[in-house]
Amino acid sequence: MSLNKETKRFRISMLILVIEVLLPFLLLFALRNGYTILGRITSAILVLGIVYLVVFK
Amino acid sequence: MELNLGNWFLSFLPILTVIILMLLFKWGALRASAMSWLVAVAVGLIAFGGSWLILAWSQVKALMLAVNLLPIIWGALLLYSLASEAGSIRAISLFIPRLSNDRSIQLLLIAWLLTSFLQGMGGFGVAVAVGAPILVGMGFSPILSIVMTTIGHAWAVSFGGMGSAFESLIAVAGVPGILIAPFSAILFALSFVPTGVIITLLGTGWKGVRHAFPAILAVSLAMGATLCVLNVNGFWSLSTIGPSIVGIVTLVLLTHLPGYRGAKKAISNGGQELRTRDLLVHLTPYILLVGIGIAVAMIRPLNAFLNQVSISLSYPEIVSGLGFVTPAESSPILHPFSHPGMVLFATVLLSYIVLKREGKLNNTSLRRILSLTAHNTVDGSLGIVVMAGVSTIMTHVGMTSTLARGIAETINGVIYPLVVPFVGVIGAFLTGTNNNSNILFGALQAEAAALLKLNVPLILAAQHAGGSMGSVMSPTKLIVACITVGLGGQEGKVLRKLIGYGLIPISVIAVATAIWSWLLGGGA
Repeated sequence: MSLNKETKRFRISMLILVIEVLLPFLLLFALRNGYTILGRITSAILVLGIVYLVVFK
Repeated sequence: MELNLGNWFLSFLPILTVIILMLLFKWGALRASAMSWLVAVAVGLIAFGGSWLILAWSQVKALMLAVNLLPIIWGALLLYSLASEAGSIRAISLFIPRLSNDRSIQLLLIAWLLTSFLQGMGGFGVAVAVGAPILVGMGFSPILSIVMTTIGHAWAVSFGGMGSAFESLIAVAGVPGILIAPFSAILFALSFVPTGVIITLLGTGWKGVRHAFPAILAVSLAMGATLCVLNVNGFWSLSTIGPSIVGIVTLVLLTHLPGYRGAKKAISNGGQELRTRDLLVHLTPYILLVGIGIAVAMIRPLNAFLNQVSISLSYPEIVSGLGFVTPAESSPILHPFSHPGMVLFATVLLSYIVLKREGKLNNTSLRRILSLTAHNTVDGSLGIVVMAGVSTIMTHVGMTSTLARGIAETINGVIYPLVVPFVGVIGAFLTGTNNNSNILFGALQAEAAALLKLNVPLILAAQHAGGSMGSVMSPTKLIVACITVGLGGQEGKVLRKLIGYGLIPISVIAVATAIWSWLLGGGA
């Protein structure tokens, strides 16, 4: 079943909102406990979420 | 952190990015805020000794700031969706001519006085979310409707939310409120006439201004006097609601004069005359909003009971790579059960029950209301989270401090009072609230005023006024405003129209501050 464009955009925006709300806590956890790779992946996703907003909003 | 032109410009870059992208390139507020976030992170990491740990803490703090605002926005948009679905906005638009068929009077009543009153009750976004759709229903263009309601309630942000922004200013500056409040009252009172004139000019042209000017003057005098009496006596928690009610009563009394009455119409709703009972049913959401809001704020035992539950986080000391220290602190205390967002949710719930019983809503209405609200709130929520992130990143790497120090240390005591309100504007534009502008710049303004031998309470009053007037132009508030009139994503267009007119009352306050400071012998 294909979703219409409006619904897709809404779901992506919702996903980015969840990412921007939850990932800072994960990043904090990773950096304070020395999980370097997890920290890098988390910060990359955090920044990519913002880049998506710049490019597609 | 060394202060030089290069550092100052880099500190200003995230704000400049938002302004340029929205004004020149007509970007939406969310997109421009996201670009500003990237710029703030890049400048912070490269030039201000930032780190990913600081970024993480900044984002966590930004979320705590957003948590305070988001329930209000969700509640305001839910209320708007409910009123829209039940046909209440259309009914109210048709009701206004019953009071007066004079276009200027209608405008002043909705765009200036009703929005000011609602700002006192509901805070962030509620005033425009209610006022702008009513103006659209009355036949004004969506952009004009936002601009007029935004300018109309800009002064009311100052002491809205029971004076919380003013209390923050008192706390960070360490100056008694009773010293700042009289200056504040006079500065805001001076902005009333320009505000009324701008709204009438935008809606009805110069002819309308000439016609409505006596009414604007009378309402301004009545509101200004009330504001002064309340502030001088220390009742600043009532300094938005009190003058707004006095303004509404004054204007309604003026509609009895032949010149402002106009030809009254019968109220029709799709060909059928709207009965008074139907009108009252349609007004239910707004009557309940006022009733519940007043009960929660004014009935002390109820307020104390609801305030028993509070949420606050503790943050550690954060030091940037260049040695800029953000001391250990606690987040603002959140009282979830007396929060304006909770007032809005309770209003929506009770209004839904009443409107459904009265047959204004059907079985599929709830689904449509929730769907419309969900679609509208996601972008608004993202905008607030991102813009709050820009603000906290700038604060934690020392960019905000550099920006403020640059202004305070390079401008002399004669010019400084003229600049003070605009510093408040920058803080509020960046953070979206007068409260956060006062927290960011309140202490610095007090310190700079003392160094320059200026009157400290006057300077703090000007900071507060600038923060109030600037917050309504912030991208986060524009997102909410645009959603309610179907202009989502077109915040840049609205800001272009808004900024020129919005800066007029701020300039009046800036000039008044400079003259007053000079008369008091400041900067000598």
